[in-house]
Amino acid sequence: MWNGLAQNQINGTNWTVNIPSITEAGNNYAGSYESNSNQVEINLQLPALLGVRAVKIHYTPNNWHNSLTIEARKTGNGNLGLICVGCSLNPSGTSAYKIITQVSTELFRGTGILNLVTISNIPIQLKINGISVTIPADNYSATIVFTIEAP
Amino acid sequence: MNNSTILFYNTVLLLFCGTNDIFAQTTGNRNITLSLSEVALLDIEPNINTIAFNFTTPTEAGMPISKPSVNTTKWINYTSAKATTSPHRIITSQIDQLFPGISIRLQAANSVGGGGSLGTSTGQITLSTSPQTIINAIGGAYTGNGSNNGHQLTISTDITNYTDLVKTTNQLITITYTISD
Repeated sequence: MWNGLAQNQINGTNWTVNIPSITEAGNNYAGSYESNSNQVEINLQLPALLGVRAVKIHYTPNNWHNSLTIEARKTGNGNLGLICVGCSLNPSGTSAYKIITQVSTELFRGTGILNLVTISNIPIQLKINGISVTIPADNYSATIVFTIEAP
Repeated sequence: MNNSTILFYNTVLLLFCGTNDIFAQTTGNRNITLSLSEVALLDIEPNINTIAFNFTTPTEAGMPISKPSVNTTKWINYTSAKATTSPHRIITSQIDQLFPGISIRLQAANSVGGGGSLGTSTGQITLSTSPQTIINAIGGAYTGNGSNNGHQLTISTDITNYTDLVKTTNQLITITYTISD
């Protein structure tokens, strides 16, 4: 795939967490829920020569609860262009989940020696933890912010 | 290397250098939303099978009727999720009919297992046909599921008035438990 004219992009959709109802008295929610493995897809364009770009992530609470934590991980390497010498993503493949805070931290980075294309559709999966009946019933929302920049 | 070749390499190099300059910070965002509903579920474990209380006729004149032993086989499990603005929940208990001369007493123990703002026992009550609170101050909480989770129930009977006693076989009395705001 030739993506030479593409730029850094954050694609994918918002995530509405589907929480199954509790049907048995005494039980709590499962607690953790995962999005689709490619809920967010990132197109990463590296600088042409000896380029490094970091993908950072943080969240801003809209109506949120401190017991809820969000994690994210990269679930693949996306599509590498043909003209991408020495290109790699670190970590490679599926990474471990990383807790997202309100402070921007690096999720992964891309490096390359000679790049004329974009690494496209790098899949990102989200996970939410801490869902419990002990949290007040309400509608909760947070915004996940992705930033692509020089590390 | 002739001049045109040098010009070509320089052009390519400038192109790469120029390309490096076009990268600025890129941001994008996606929202996470979730809806947590109010929940109020209650059940009796390990089952809702009948408990038998058998009063034994004395074999010696002048002796009282023998009371059945206390029953502690039942447990209350519940799950409660509520909005911050909603009041704490309670669990009430009542029977569908009285038995002449006999009282039925019920006490919920404090909760075992689970988590959150579990309820507190109000102590022993004598069941009547009106609902009475046996557990109060339930917030967002879950007891765990099954026996040995939640509030163990102690159910006992007493003869309160011999003059009211009537011979009865298999009188079925239903105890109803309700969780509510």
